[in-house]
Amino acid sequence: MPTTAPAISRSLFGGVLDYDGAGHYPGLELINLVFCSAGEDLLPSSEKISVTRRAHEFARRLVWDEKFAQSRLWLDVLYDDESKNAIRHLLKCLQLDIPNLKKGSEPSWERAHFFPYTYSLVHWDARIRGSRVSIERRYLRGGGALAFHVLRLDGDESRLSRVRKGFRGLFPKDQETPLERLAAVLLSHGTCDPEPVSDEIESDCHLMRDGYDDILRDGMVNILEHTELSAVARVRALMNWTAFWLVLIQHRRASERLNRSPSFIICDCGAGRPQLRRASQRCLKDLQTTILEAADLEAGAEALPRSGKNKLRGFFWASAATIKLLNAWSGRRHFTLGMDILESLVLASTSGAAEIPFDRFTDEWLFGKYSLVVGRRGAERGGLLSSFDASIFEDNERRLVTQMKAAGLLTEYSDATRMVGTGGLR
Amino acid sequence: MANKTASHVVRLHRYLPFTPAHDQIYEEYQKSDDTLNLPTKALSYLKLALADGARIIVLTGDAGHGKTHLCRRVLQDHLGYTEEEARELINKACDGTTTIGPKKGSDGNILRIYKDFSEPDIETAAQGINVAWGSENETTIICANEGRLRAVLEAKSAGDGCRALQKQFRMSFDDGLVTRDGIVHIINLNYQSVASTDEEGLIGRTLKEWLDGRRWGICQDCDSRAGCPILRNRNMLSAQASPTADQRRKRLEVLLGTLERLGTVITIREMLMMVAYLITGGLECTDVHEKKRRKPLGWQHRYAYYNLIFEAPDEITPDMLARIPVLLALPRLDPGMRAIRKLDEHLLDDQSLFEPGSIDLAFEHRVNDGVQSIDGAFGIDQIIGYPRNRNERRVESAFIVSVTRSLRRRAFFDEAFEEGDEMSWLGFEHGGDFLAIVKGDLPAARMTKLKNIVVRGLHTIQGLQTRSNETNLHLVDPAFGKATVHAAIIARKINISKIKLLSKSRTWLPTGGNANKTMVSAVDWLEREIVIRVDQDAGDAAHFALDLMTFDCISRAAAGFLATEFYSHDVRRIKTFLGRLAESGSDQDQDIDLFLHGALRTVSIDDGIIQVGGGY
Repeated sequence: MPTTAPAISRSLFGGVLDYDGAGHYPGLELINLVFCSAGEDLLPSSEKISVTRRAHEFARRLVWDEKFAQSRLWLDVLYDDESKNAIRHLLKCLQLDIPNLKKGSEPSWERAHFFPYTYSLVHWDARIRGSRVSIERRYLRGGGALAFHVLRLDGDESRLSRVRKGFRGLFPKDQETPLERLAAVLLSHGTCDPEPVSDEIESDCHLMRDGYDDILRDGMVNILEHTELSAVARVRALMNWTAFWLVLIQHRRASERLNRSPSFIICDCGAGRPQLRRASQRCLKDLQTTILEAADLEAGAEALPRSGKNKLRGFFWASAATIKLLNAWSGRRHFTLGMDILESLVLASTSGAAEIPFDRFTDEWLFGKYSLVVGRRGAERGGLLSSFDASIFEDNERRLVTQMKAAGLLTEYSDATRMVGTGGLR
Repeated sequence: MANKTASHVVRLHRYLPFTPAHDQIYEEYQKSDDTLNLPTKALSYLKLALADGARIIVLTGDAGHGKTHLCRRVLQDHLGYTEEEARELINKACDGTTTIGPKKGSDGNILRIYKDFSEPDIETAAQGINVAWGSENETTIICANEGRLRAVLEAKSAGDGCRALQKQFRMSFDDGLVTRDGIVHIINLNYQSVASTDEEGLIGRTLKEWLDGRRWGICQDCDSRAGCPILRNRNMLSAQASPTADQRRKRLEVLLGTLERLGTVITIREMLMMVAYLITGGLECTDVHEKKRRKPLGWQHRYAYYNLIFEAPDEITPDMLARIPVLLALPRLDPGMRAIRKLDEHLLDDQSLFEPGSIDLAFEHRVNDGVQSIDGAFGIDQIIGYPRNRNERRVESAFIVSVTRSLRRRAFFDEAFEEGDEMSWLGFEHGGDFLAIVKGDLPAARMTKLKNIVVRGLHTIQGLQTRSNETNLHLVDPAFGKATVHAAIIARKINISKIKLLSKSRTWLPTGGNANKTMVSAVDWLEREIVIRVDQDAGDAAHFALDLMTFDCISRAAAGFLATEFYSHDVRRIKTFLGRLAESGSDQDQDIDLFLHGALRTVSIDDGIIQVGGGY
């Protein structure tokens, strides 16, 4: 019987899901593993993988370490104070959001990461150990490793090659943008593994072979093939999608472990119906309880300590809150569908320029694959109509239509045919 | 003399969706006597295509564009049936299961008509297309709403025919061609405009037909004629009764054209319902007689066509109004809500714009214990209420607002001003520029000025503040799309000479020999969008379509500020386009341009040393 939180997480979900590594960190970890793993091929099919990690600590300390900025250590790279201030200011714009950071405060450089907009902005966790920089896992705890494991061990060869091609298209080698050139110079002054190191966390992940793996792969291939959108838009969608998939498998695999009926998320899209709001709030509590109960069952007689439980539960809500699947980070929270996650879900569900009818999107994709209850049909299939008035969900669906239309993700024709796609973004 | 009932008003009521007898709205239920057979460009094109041996003709567009009507007209004009026979065929033999040959003694193709592709299920419909694709001896006409057509073409059982149609349908949005091979024609009626600028718009033609003097002769013998708002509307809009009528009809077209340019699709059915409503205000002759008997004057202004467009009278509930969707969209353009000082002074002080004694400008104001009659032609000076408390002040203020709005609305239709200026009355400050670009053939100096405005607007949207005469479009690296600290890398610069502002149809022109097969020649056409074309290397070009709202967003942003929440949808689209453009050809120079603290700087990387140069 597993007794530690990581072991339980591995046995329940396939990989390590930890509160510290929630939110966008799994996406960041995935991109690191894809682009920094040793060998020519992206997503190698070998049993074990090794990674050439890089810390990017020069640029990160320059931006977020005031002491470093005041020292003259940067003089080898930046010409003068004016250059330093300009580059600091610029790089600050590329910071990965930290949702639970106190307002107005600056993160330490170890906590701050660059959003991986270009190849040279991709970097691993690092911290100071004594006088030297150590590249080690701190926020990249294993969520991304699980996603990477699932993607690279895909039995469908053609899909795997499409995913590889899609990843290559994110950062084409022949495209040297000004940002890439600047980031490359700064990266070269940071620490990097001299030799590829083996990644045990990734190797310890295992496939659960329950159908959810294909949801990640299908969504990923769709996102990567939306080449009509900028690479930046695809990277953002990829990060949100990875986090969403982990949230999905966490509650679905937990409920399956308990032999319960499949769990789902009730989203309140802001139609202003108090019953729905309460149901959505309750749903959040119930899903967290399900995860904890599954962890207890997995731990058996050796009860998991409270801190371990919080790590598992924390990953769920913190990831959901970061990708705007929750209305807020703290306070009274309910599930919703923020613009960013909505866009990512549409990209993951539509292939290229093709469109799908809205009813199919809410029924087959949102409910059928992503376990999100928004409209009447989903509520009916989820057995919610015995306790709720159907009009609540109809209003909810209408609200979602309005939001998607405004965001250019839905086209409404007068014959009540509503098509979901990225046409409005182009 | 006595009160009379005009049969034409009864007929107009059959077009109103909230009256019990609204049979004229649907082709299938129409009666042959006195139906409105408007000549449309789509009909002419359809007949030409049939004569040229088309195999599949798809009529797509929203419900109400007249797809069934076109089929009926084809049966009449192409196969020689009478109107009654054609209508019977429409009801009985147009579900795609049977073919229709020409009437004895007439020539014409054998037709198979699907008058509504929503009737068969998606898979059956897809198979129908495949069968039609292989039938060389007959012509299949398919009427399908756009959404349904897309769903059918993407069906699981889609074969070669569906794929060919889908390819052509998709390409038609890029090159505007109705047909490529003369075999498959896709006429997208969503491009059809009721306010076409080619010749007189469909709304103008409808008004001319319905307001013809012969139809209204009976009103001259009616006792209520002096106080009848229906007759007053007719007289204001008919050239036979008013010299300003042509201008008023033109302004009505401008109004609807503006709505279409904002992305609202107005079908012919909606237009007919709207016109019937604008003329009658939902009143029948007997209602007018009764109202006039109770009060001779002071109520008619609520039924004046220019007020009906923007504000419904009390008895027309929101539910009733919602059945004519265009009337829900029009209040957004209400000129009565806009204060333009020059005009207001003219309207309220000069008092010389309208002739006194018009029933549509007669208002009644309850003051203290009596009723005050006001003639709006004299502005608002006659309103003297001596309010004694807050409630009376509020009532008087509401009354003044109502009179002022009526006057502004009427002035919009009556006032003579330069072409393009009317757009600012509708709230689009830069609408005149939009129309000028759409019209084309602008002098180079004016075009450069407009391009400068657009470029400046695009800069503001990306968070850049540049000089007004900037000759390059700076494209920010998409990674800085969410930056709020005003620092960004410029990924690419595009010289203004490589940027063109064109009307949508002009981007379709290079089709050369196919010029007569574009959508412009197949439907009553209105230029709804302008296109920013950015010439790239190797002869490629990137296109970005701007409707009036997006153009307004960019033009307003050129002044240096943008209401990002209000325009969030437009901004998202614009940023996506600029992001792709930035990625498609990043500069490979050694220097990197940086935008920082409101100035452009350069970054050079020399032997691994980064140096940021001074701003300019």
